[in-house]
Amino acid sequence: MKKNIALIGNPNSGKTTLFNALTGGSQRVGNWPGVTVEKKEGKLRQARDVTVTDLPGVYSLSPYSPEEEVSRRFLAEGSADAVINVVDATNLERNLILTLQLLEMGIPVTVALNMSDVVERRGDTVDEKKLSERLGCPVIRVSALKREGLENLAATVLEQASYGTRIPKKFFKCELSKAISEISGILEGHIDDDLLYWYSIKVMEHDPHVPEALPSPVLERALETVRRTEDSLGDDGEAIVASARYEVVDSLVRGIYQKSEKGGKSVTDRIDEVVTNRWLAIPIFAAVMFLVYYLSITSVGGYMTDWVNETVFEENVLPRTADWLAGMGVEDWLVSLIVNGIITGVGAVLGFLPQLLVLFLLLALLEDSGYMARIAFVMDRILRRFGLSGKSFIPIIVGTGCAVPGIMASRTIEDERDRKITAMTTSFMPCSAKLPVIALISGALFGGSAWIAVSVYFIGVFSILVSGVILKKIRGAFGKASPFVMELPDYHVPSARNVVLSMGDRSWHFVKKAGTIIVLASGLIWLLTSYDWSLNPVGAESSMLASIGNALSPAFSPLGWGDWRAVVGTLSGLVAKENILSTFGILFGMEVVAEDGAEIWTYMATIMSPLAGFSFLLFNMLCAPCFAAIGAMRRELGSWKETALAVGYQCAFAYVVAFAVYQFGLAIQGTPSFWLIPAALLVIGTGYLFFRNPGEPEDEVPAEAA
Amino acid sequence: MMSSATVLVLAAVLLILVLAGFGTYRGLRKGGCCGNCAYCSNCRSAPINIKEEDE
Repeated sequence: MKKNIALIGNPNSGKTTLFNALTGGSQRVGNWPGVTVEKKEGKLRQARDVTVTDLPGVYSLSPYSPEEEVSRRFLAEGSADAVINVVDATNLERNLILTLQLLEMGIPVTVALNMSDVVERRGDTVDEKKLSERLGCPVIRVSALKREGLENLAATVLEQASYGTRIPKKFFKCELSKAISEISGILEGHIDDDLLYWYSIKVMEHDPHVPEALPSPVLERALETVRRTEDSLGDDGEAIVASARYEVVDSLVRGIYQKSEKGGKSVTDRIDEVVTNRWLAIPIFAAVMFLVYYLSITSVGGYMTDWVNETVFEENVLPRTADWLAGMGVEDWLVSLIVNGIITGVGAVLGFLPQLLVLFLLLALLEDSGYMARIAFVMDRILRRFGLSGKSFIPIIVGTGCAVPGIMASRTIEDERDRKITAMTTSFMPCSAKLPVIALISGALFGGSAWIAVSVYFIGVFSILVSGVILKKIRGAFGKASPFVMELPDYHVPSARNVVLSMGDRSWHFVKKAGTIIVLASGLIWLLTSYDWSLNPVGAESSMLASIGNALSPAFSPLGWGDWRAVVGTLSGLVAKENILSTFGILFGMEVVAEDGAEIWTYMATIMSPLAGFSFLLFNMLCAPCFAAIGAMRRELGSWKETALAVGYQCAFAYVVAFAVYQFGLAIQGTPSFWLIPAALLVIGTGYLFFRNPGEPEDEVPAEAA
Repeated sequence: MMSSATVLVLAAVLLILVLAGFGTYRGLRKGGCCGNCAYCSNCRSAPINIKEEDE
């Protein structure tokens, strides 16, 4: 008996946690709204022939955002035999608005009253039996996090799915109810009977998709009824339906939710008073990020990375492999390819895994506890002053793990221009692939200071802000920040399962890249470093790679790192940022790239000063992201032309920042160069683009053509 | 003339490179991941391109 069950609910109501609990899946869970952008599928644990689809979190079934579009289309097409409506018991009234809309569609609905444990902890009570009677559908108390009530939920929804018929529930009264019945009479025969009532409401709401489904004369007759009702009730159809739903919900929950008499501020409220405080929020955030990078790069993660690099790779894997292969009689060039190419390249990247594990653990703790959601809220205040939306900060937080999902998460932004600008700038954040590069520069040239990582993080945020303003002004959309409405979830002790899953996912992604793209790139770099254009074995200085690097190095000399090795390191970073590490490892002919070892300090210091190293780091953090992220940008921007423009902008911006930092740094050190004047002119030009008055927004210019 | 050890090891290296190439191709093709878990090890469903569907 194949059945399809859809999981739907408000953002951050715990759908993905419930999905994982019901299916045994391991989709990533985030304690902020918008984690699920598209639908996900899994098999129900209790019945493997039943498919569970996790739909994006929505507040309603209106067609105004991509998430609502995905959910609504899935339900309207009859793809689900039954629906589990995940309702946050701590916020019953707002969640039930969606429940009403699902019941209006007539799909068999089972309400999963999630976070009931939080309600109990507060001393409040919810009468789910009475709620079930009033809604006319089963209401099951569950806790997705603690996996309570799931068996009962699964059994109930399976029973519901077996009915196979759609019976819409009618909650509206008086004039609105009469108008909807009249519209239903007009639409009869033109719309599938199952969806007749729902479509009638959509006509009343002036839903933009209705005209596609109805012949014009029929729609015109139905709209006459709508206009008459609007005149009579003195409001527009959409507002009439919305306020009627609020009235229904108000009467539904009356006497069902009993608040504790204890009252007072909750723990969450008390924490929020400090961490979202107007003056303290940003310093606290900076301190938290400093601690995160200090623990992952400088202390705990740093010690573990040293051990892996020095003990595992340097003293064991590399010499033993070389001895073993030579002992078997394998030819020298092949030993070199394996040891100096592949193992060195991959080892240089994998050596940083311990630092990443610590970083991923700390980020997962921050995300799951609910703190990161506050950062989006805090940043909204700042972004709004620059005409940007705080909603852009969610993709930025996601992008700290990997730019690809960060770019994908930008699709939760309704305004097309804001969405595209966010997709273009999200990769400015230091993703996990960039962290080893930060650790390398910080360890080799700055004594392992955590401030380097923190400064790169905040320069990433600053670059997004500046670029957002510049790009909005160029696109003629400045001053129209998308509204950002976000419910702040309660803080909770992070779930060990969620944290381990998140850490495991991200680490596995990193290891997988080392085993695929880095293996290939290491082989290629070894080939290009070991041979000249006539394929004669030569030293690195006479190799193909050296000639490519030397040809391009004049362009990077003003940034302080015109050495060909730094240039080819940057080029290889386009494939994947970790490649910078493997390239340096192979080029320096080192056995490992120890993050703060004496060897790397010696080698790095021969090709760049600390100031040039910081300029190198900034350029590589801000320039074009890896191929996978460019592919994701292409998906979100919709054309290769816009993608090429975005990559061009990123590279130009990175060049200006690195150029200015290096040249102004030299001037501060008392050794200014001729390049200071062009650097100053570029900074003035950027400042002009940032501060100029763009005039009136050009609404008539379509974003694609802008 | 290459020794048999060299031939065997070379074959193993080529196999690893081919597998790495296949993995890279899959990874980049998915570059387009779902946008939820981000980490394709958990990817269960092909992504839907909303814009393409609309078109």
